[in-house]
Amino acid sequence: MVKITSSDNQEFTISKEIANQSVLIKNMLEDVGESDDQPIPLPNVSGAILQKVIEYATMHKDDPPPAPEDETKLKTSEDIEERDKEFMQLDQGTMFEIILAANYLDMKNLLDLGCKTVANMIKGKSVEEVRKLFNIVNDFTPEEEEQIRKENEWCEDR
Amino acid sequence: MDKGLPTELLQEIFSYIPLSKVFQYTRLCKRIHSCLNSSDFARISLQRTTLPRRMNSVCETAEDKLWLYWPRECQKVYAIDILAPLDSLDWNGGSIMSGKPMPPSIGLLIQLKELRMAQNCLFGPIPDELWELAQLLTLDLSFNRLNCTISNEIQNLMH
Repeated sequence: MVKITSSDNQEFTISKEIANQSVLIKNMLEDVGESDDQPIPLPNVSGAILQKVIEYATMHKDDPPPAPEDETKLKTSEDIEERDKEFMQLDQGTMFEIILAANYLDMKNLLDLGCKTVANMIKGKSVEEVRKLFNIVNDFTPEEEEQIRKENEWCEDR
Repeated sequence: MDKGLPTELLQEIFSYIPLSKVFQYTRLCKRIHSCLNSSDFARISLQRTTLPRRMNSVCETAEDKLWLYWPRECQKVYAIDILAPLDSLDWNGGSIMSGKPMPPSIGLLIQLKELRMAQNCLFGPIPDELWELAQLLTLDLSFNRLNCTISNEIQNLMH
């Protein structure tokens, strides 16, 4: 078993196969060796988020190793598994924190899942709708915005 | 989203949106504008959304059609990564470039011996960079709306 602690000092004990899904933790474990039972500090992740990340890793612990990337197939955001879709039913704040945690912990599958989920929320929406959805403040002057809009008119949904 | 995530994660997210659609989002805010108008983004996005080009595919692909519409940085990456190995392009009569000028990054296609872009509604001046294509033997730009004088640089092309 492996012990990890969050930024707010919550301690979690997880199995090695779950811990190894994070390349960061895997490398740390290899560095310190088997004997050390000091908890691994993860100062960039809060306990609440770590809990969710462990939930994801537990759900995927029996996954077969990923198939080698097929060059003739495009990566798309449309191929999300049903159980992963359910897992990502979160408020936006938590969702972005999970993406940041996956990036920090070096968990490629979870990072891809997070990014695909956000991409799917953007797809098909107008600029105004996306701004509203994510609370993005338009910091262009009306003239600047109009110019950029014109340059990219060709790719707006008509 | 625009404040909490570092640039490379924003680029990662937007790379899942097809290149035919993604640039409308450049006007969301300044930060996203600069994330998407970068050669890093162009690279990730091209990898993710386009298939490797079949060798010697000289005719226009769906991406070629969009090339002249993309932001400059993205045009450049596409020219270097995708088009540069080709020695011949046949875009005659394509509907690719209506009302757009030729991009300066045409000058990066240094292997080109043959370039056919007739009947494309090309617009504006011919970029000087075109005359840097020292291998070029055949050039067809007829039936476009180019306004230019054929400059002295054309001599570079004559061997």
